[in-house]
Amino acid sequence: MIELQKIEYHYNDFKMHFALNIAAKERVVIVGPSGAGKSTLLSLIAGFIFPNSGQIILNQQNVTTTLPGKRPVSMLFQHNNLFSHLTVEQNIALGIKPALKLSRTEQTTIDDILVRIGLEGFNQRYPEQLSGGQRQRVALARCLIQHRPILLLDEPFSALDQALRFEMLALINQVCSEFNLTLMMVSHYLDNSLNHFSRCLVIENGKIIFNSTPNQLKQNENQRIARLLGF
Amino acid sequence: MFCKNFLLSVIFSLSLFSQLANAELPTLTVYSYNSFMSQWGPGEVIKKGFEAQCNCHLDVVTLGDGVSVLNRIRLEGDKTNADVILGLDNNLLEQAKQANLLIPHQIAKPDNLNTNWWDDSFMPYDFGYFAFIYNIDKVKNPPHSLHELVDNKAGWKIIYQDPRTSTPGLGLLFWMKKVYGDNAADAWQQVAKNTVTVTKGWSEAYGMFLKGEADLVLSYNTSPVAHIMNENDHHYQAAIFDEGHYRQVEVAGIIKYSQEIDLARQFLRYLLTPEVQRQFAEKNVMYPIIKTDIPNAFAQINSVNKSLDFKPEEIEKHQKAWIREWQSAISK
Amino acid sequence: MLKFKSLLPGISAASLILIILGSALIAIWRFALQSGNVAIYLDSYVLHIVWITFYQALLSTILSLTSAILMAKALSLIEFKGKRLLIKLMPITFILPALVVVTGLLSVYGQQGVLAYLCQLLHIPFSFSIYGLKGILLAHVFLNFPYACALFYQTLNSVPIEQRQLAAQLNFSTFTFFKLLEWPLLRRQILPMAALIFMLCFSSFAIVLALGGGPKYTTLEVAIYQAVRDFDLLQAALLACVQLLCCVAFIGLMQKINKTGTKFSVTFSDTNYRLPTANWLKVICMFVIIIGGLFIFSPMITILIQGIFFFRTSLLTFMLLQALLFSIVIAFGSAMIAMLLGLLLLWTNSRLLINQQHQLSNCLMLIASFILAIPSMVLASGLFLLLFGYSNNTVFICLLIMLCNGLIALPFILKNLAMPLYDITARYWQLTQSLNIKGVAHFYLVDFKGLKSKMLMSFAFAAVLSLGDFGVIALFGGQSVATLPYYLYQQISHYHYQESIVTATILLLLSFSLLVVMDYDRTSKN
Repeated sequence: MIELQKIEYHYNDFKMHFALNIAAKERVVIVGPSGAGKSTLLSLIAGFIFPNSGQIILNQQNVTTTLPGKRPVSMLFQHNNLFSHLTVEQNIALGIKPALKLSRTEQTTIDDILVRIGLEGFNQRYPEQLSGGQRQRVALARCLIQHRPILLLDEPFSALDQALRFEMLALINQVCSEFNLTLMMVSHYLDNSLNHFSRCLVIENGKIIFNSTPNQLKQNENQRIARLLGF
Repeated sequence: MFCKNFLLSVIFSLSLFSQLANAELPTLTVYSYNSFMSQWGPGEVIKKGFEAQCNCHLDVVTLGDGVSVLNRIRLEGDKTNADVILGLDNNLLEQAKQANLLIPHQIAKPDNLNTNWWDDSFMPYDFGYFAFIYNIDKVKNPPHSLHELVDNKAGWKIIYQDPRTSTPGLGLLFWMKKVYGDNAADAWQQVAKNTVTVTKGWSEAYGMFLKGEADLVLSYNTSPVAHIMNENDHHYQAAIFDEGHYRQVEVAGIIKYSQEIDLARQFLRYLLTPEVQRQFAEKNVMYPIIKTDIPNAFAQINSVNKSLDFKPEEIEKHQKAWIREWQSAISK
Repeated sequence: MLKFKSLLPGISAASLILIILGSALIAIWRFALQSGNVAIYLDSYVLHIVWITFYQALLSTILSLTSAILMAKALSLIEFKGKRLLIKLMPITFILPALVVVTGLLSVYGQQGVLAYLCQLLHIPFSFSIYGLKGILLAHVFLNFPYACALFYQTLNSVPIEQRQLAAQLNFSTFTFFKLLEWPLLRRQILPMAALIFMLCFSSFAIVLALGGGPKYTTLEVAIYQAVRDFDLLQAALLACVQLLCCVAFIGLMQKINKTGTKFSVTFSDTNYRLPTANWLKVICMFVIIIGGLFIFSPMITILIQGIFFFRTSLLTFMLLQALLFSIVIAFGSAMIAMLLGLLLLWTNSRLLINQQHQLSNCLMLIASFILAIPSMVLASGLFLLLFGYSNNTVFICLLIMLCNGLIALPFILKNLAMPLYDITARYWQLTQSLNIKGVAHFYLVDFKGLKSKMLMSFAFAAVLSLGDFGVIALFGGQSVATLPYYLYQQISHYHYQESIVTATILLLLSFSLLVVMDYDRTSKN
């Protein structure tokens, strides 16, 4: 599903190297010290930056040089996921097509998705009238409406409190099952939330140094990595 | 902030003080136009020369052009510092007289005047004629009369100055009126057909002309002298017209609020001495008002055969109407 | 809660401006009434002038803005070497002395200009005449569009990087991106910009006189100049009021239309992400940039080439150096005054906006831009009437010139800094409140530290603006304060035409270097 073959990416003097193979419907969490290259990995997959060498295969297609809009990927950031001068409805509608006029069926689709994320009737609100969690829900709704099989999350819930964060994780899990999504999420929390994921990647200095189930981190042979992460 | 203010006021009062320290000698204050005192103007030499013989301090205040000088004194009224006003011309004279700012200069009319012009309130110090200048390389067959220029069979492109904002422009207005009388409006419309542009002042017009924007530019018949003296360039000539040329006389006068009237009169007399007259010829590029030795370059330019002018009272009476006539004629 | 203390700086700066302008106008009225010359006329010619003034100003504004948006968009779409320099140097046309602008434009578009020469080489008949309405519009667009363009470009770049990336993922076309993301940001700048350009064109003077081709295309400012020269001071004051009214009405209209609606969160990010652009669009952009760049720089380059050609070391006289020194001193003084007034006004303005007092904020900004609508001739005469007792004192004249130039530069400082200052104040508002950071500490820690480079840039801008100023100096100065533009006019009036081009070149180089030096980023990262 997600296949990175010998990816090399150079940022000034910083050389990063990634090789990865993730099956469909897997849920992957990426952790590691800041500045290690976690967000870069997501940007490579999303197509905001292009590798110096290597190939990216998504959904059995070689997308190494494909533009972000043509990749089977949707993405959620920590901030600025919503256009603050557009309403909730308009923000979501942009996931269907880059225009603001909606047909009746599209309108219904949006209403449905709002129900699913628990924001029924919030159509005409502006982002500044929403709480942090609600904003990320709206952004998630837009990702879902894009119907792209891969969902990338770049620390989307870091600004939320713990209860809300777990709530959101549960919601993500639910929609991933419901929509058959492959999930990759950057996080800096190493608590119970790791158990929501089927696989954990640890990145240090531009390389993947750990690639297994989250439970494996507690094994003895992985002590150095666990210490690096601060267990 | 306070510190800065304080500092400024100290500088300010220091400079005031330094001016006071100078005040032991009597001071004669002359108001004149800018170019009088500039690096290339005659002012600096005249100031030195006069101070060497008057045992006084000569303070020259310069402002824009003749009109600005006159207006400044009008604004200042009886509180003015000016003792002498230098740089008005015959077209502005009546305005100044009506403002009642001057006293008669009481200087006897010299017998060796270069041109026939004298006035009791204003003493002339140099003069010239308005004329159109052309480049002999580009205009092989220049116009020989104002009529020829206005009819413009050759299609010469003309630049002149706005009579509302510039002295030569005003001169041309009177010149046209003198030659065409009641038909001036038609003549202006004729001129408008080949006018490249009408500029605010002489500088803009002459600059455009030198850039090659036009064939003929309104200036003075002595302008070629400057080209000869500055860069030995003989390519520019004045077109001499059969109808004659409108005359401009530059004048100086004594302000009636002056406390130094004798000194002021001494200064005016000094202006008529041969060495100062030569300064005017060289640096103002105008004819000296009395017959005197002038640079050779003057001999190499076309001279004017006939001079034209209006009486100052006529000008005062009609100037506004004539400007309106010009305005509406060329706005059509 | 809005405290009086936070209102004080702005109110005092605004009242200072109002007092200066008001007392100048009143002094003229009083003098005119005393002197008994009460001829006033509002005839058809005056109405004709008002209409022509309005018409050309409106056209100039529309043309400048359209080309500015086009060029800014083109610049934001492609990356090339020297782009940063291009954008930094562009606004220089905005501040050149009128005579230099006219000379420059003529050497490109005139009968003997570069364009005519090229046409001759290619055997195309050259029939373009720069005089008349065309010339006025050309000059006004030349003066104003690069400045607007540089400002718009910054705005286009302030779209947050995440939103750009989102837009790429949502498959926005360049047009959709512009419509949905950039336009709402631009929109809040376009109308104030329009008001500024309109006002500058409305009160345009020397350019209209030089390129207008006669009284057919003239402006109210010219009529006022005329009235002052004829000593019809009452008429001048009346026309000045007409001009002020027209400008204020236009600005008021712009402010009315320009409702500041939803807030924008603008982040200043180091990393950048550019939306993928189609190749044909890149070609068009390149074309637009080349045309725009040539339009802006060819007049200046021709001046530079001529200046180097005519340069001789003997021209570096003492007078020239003195003029250079005076220019620099006055430029820095004016910039200081403008900066001080501007920051005082904006301090209050930011706090008004945070407290949702849009009306009051508009009012404050309006007062600050009054100066552009008041004819400099009227202002100078008025101030002179009030203060002529000191008119022989060089230091006093210097201060007065600095004040006038500072006031004239003020609207531009406000334009450059108003939004950034508001954004940064609003962003850290709660934080600074809770940390009890107020007053000078707030200014130093938040405003100055956060916007140092922007402030330096505005300072340089104000300095260059008064470097090129001739008008005020001509009215007050005389030879006691001879600056470079003054020296330049002197040279021309003494038939030293070639030398004057050298002076113009020095003026240009000085302005260039000021803008470049001030922009030098000391905190540059690798």
